[in-house]
Amino acid sequence: MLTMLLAYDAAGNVIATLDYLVQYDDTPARDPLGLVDFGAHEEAGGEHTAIWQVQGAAGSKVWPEWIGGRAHDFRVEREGPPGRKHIAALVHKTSGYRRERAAVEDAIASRIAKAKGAPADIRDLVGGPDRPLTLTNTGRTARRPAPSPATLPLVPLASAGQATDTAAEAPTPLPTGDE
Amino acid sequence: MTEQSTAAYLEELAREVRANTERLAELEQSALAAYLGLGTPARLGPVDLSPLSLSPGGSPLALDSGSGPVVPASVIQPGAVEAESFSASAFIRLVTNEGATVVIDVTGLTVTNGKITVTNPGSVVIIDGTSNMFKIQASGSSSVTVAADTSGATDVTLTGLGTLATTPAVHAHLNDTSASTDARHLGHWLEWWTSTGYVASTSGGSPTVRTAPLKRAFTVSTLLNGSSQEVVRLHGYNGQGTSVTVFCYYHVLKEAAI
Repeated sequence: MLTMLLAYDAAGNVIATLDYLVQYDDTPARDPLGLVDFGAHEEAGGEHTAIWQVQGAAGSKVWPEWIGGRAHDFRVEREGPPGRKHIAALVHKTSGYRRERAAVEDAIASRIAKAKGAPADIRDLVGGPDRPLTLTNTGRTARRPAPSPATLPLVPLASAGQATDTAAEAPTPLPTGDE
Repeated sequence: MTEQSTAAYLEELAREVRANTERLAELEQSALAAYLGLGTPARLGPVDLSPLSLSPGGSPLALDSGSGPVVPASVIQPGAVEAESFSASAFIRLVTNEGATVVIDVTGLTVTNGKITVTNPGSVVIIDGTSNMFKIQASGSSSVTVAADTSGATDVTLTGLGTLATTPAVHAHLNDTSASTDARHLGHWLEWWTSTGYVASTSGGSPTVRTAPLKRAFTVSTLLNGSSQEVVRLHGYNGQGTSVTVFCYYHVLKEAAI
């Protein structure tokens, strides 16, 4: 499962994030191969320095949510045996609010179980590489605002193709004033 | 009535029916359709089969336009196409006589010597490989804390991108806050003194030249390190009397055809 990558200083303060990274082949065109799975790399015992190196960082681990630049409002709490530590919680530096990894992973597992084999939509739980969760100033997940007023009239995309035969319906040229 | 005369009578009756179907009552049409095993009249709409024909050699179906597109049976895997669905491993190759190839398989849609056209209200998008766009190779954030009257930098080296021949373009925005609702400055964050300053035009001269003095100036740079790896550098100078932390969000770009 895709995750976000965090880098933190010696005090645990988040100092950098990496939402995603594309790996390319070695052809001159550098054709894309896919997104690097930070979580699988960490699970396999890989060093994240193979992915990025952050000046001033004391360590780097994955986090299951995408929270964009607001990750810098937190410090990490790690747990696990030496060499196998992972981030167990993000603690908001001013409010003290905790984002618990176990709670996030339980919510994901519950959503997947309810889907009964069908694709589970967990975007509201974890955000995504290009759509981070919106957080409040205290570090809680905020309700996302509506994308636009619902009352605006729309042209449904499903109507595409209707009257779009440009050859058959070439616009009438505007008068040039020379006539 | 003999068997032969019965057959002749029925043949004559059939000719009459075919010639005068409009005179048949609805119940008669239903009875006739049921007798012939054709279902109900509602399902007997006019179907123009004239453009379709079985082409020589056993190909299943072809447009009878001579040079039109065809779907040869040889390129459809047995069992791939069923009454209501395509198999997940369906492999379909549509070939025209212009040399273009369209392949749909489990890896996606591949068009060779052709284009993909998406038409929607207000726009037509053509993907044909003739133009370039920026794709995002990586995105993330970084921060740097700089004490008063000093400069500082944070380098993020994206080793996972491998070694690069040229420095990629980077789009970045930054500020001294990470709050979602605060402004993001594109590429540079400059903080000015709100009052006008004065400098001298010559060393030791009278400070009469007006200027807008900077308190802080930070920027994001993109460069390759000695191993040809991409580095996103957030750096700047803090001329203010207190420490400052500056945050940036960046996208590393790759020019690619579309």
